[in-house]
Amino acid sequence: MHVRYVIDGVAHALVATRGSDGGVQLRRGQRSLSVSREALPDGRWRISIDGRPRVVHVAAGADAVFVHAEGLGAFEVERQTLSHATGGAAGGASDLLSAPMPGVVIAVPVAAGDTVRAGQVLMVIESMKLETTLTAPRDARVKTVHHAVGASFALKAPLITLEDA
Amino acid sequence: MDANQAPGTPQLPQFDTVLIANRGEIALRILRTLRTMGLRVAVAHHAVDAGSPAVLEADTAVELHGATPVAAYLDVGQIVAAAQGSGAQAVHPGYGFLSENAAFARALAAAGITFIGPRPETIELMGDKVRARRFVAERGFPVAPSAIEDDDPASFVARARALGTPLLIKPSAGGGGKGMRIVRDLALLEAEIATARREGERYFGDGRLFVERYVERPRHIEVQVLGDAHGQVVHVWERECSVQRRFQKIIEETPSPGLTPEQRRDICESAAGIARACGYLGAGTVEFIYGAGGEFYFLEMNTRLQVEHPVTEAVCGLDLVHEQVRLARGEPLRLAQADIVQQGHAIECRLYAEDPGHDFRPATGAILAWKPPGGPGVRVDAGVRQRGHVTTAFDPMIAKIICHGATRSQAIARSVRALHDTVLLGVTTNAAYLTQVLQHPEFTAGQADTGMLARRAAELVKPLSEDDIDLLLAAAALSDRELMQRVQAVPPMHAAMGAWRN
Repeated sequence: MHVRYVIDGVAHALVATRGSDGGVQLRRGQRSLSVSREALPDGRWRISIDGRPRVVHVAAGADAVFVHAEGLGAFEVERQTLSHATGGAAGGASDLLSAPMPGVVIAVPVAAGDTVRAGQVLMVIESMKLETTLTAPRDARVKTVHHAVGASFALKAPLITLEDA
Repeated sequence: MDANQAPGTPQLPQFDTVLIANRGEIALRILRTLRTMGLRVAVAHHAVDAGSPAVLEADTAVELHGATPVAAYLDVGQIVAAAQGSGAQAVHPGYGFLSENAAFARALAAAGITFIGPRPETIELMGDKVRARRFVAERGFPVAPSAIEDDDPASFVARARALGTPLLIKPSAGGGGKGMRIVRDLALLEAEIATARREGERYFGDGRLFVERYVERPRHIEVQVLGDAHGQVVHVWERECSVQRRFQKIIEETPSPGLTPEQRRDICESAAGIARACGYLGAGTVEFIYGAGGEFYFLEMNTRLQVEHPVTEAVCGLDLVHEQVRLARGEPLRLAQADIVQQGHAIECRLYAEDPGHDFRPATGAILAWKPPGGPGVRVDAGVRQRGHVTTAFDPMIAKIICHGATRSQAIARSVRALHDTVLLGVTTNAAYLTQVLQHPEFTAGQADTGMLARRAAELVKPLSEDDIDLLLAAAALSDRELMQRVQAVPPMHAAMGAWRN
C-alpha cells in the first residue's frame, strides 16, 4: 500500500506490506523497516523498528497523528491523501500558500505574474498581534494574490498561489 | 480565617469571597491560594472558557459577554457587576486584562469592593512610561540617558541626535516591544523615527515617541517588591528574564547568574527605594536593563503579579498571592528584609502554542493528550486540560514549568527533564526548543542577553535524524487504521514464499 506522510512540511513516501511476524514492513526509499507495536498498560506504545524498541505517546487527530517520543518532543504527522500525493510539487513544496492562522494582510511586496526566488518575501500577515512573513518555498511565478493589504482571512484560507516560472 | 492576620485591627477590609477577573493558568493559580486561605472563589469568564479548569473549580462562575472573548475580560462594568452579584468583597485581577487599569480599581472602590493591587494613583503613575521615568530619575535612581518628544517636539530629533549611538526608539504608549527600533547610524535616525511613529499609531493609537541610550548586550533583570498600607516596603530579590523571543520572555530564573552579590544588593535596594518613593501597596515588579559593563537603568514598574512570579516563590518560600491578599486587607508586612533569603535556584519555562521552526508562528488545535511533568522540585501552572482547545482568542501561553534545585545546574537539569516529560499532543509547542535553549553553552554559562535567541537561532533548531523520521513514520503508519486494515487484508508475500522454503 502506498502512503505519504508530511512531517514539518516535508512529504515522505512509504510502501506498507504485511510482515512475516504479525508486524508491518515499511519501504522508505531504498530501505525496508520491520515495524510492530505493543500497547503498554498506561496507554503508551512500544514501537519496535528492526528490533529496536522506542516508547511513544500517540494521539490521532482529525487529519494528523501526533507523536511524542523521549528526547525528541512532539511532532505532527499529516497523512496526505492520494490526490494530493500525485499532484504535489517536488520535495513537498506546495504551490498554494494558505493561512497558518486567521489574520490580516500587512504587506504584499509581489504581484501576480512576478517571478520569485525561493526564500523571497511574498506576504506579511498579522495574527494574534504577531507579524509573520510568508516566503516562497521554491523558485516560481506568482499566479494569484488572493488577499490585498488590509484584508482579513480565515485559518487555512488561500493567500498566494504559485506556478512554474 | 487567616492565621497570619494581625490582631486588634477590626477596621481592616474583610472578605470571605474573592472574584478572579482572569482566565487560564493564572486564574487557577490564584484560586488555589484563595482556597488555602479559606476564601470562597468566584471566577468571571467568557463562554469560550466555560470548560476551563479555573471555571470548573470555582464556587461560583459568572459569565461575561463581549464582542470578542478579550473584550469580555476588559469590560469594567460587567466585572464590577459580577463581583457584586457573586457576593465578592474583593477582586483579584491576575496579570494582563484589567490588572493595570486605574479606572477599574476606582470603579471597584466606588462599589465598595477591594481591588487586590496597588492604589489607582500608583497604577496611573507607573502606567505612563514618561511620567514614571521622570519620577524615578527625580528621586535619584538610575534611568538611561534619554530624549522625550513631548518635552519639546520641535527639538526632539536634535536632542535624540545629541545622545549619540546606539539609540533605542520607543513609543511613549508602548509595551511588548512593539514599535521599538535600534539606531546605530545617525543618518537613519529620522527614517527610523518615522517607522516607529507609524507602528506606535498602529498598535497603540498614539504616535508619541521617546529615545534612549541603547544598552549593548542588554540583560533584563527585575525585582519583586512588596509594600504594605503602613508605608513599609521590602524586596523579594531579583529575577533575570533575558531569554526573550520578539521581546517576549520565555525563560526566567532567579537568582540572576549575571550579578555579583554587591550588584544584586544595589539593584534590589534601588527597586525597594522606588517602591517606597511611590508608597507602593501590594506586590509589584521593578524592571531594569542591565548592561555588559555592570550599569543598570530603570525600565518600568509593573503594578501587578508577574507571569514569572513562581521562581521567586520557589527560592524565597513565599506564596505571593497570599501576601497580596493580606496586604490588600491592610495587614502589615509579615517579613522583615533580613528574613527574606534566596534558597537554591529556580527556572521557569513558558510552554507556548507556537512553532519555533517557523518563526514562532502561533499554533491552535484540540488538546488530545496532556500529561504535565512531575518529580522533585517541579511545579506546573497550567490552565489547559485534555480535550480542551487552544484558540487564537488569547495569548498562546499554555503552561509554565517551574523547576527548583539546590544549584543552577540542578535547576537546568530538572527543567530539561521536565520538558522532555511534558506530553502535549494536538497542538505544536515550543517544548523541544526550550530544551535546546537551556542546554546551549551561552545559557549554561549564564551569559544569555536579550539578543541570544536571534543571534543563536540556527544553533537552537535541532534537525530530525533519519532514525527520528523512521520512528514518526512508523507511529503514523501503525496508528493509521485504514492503512493497517488494507495491509492485513492482503496475504503477505512471505506466506506464499514460505511454502517454497519448507
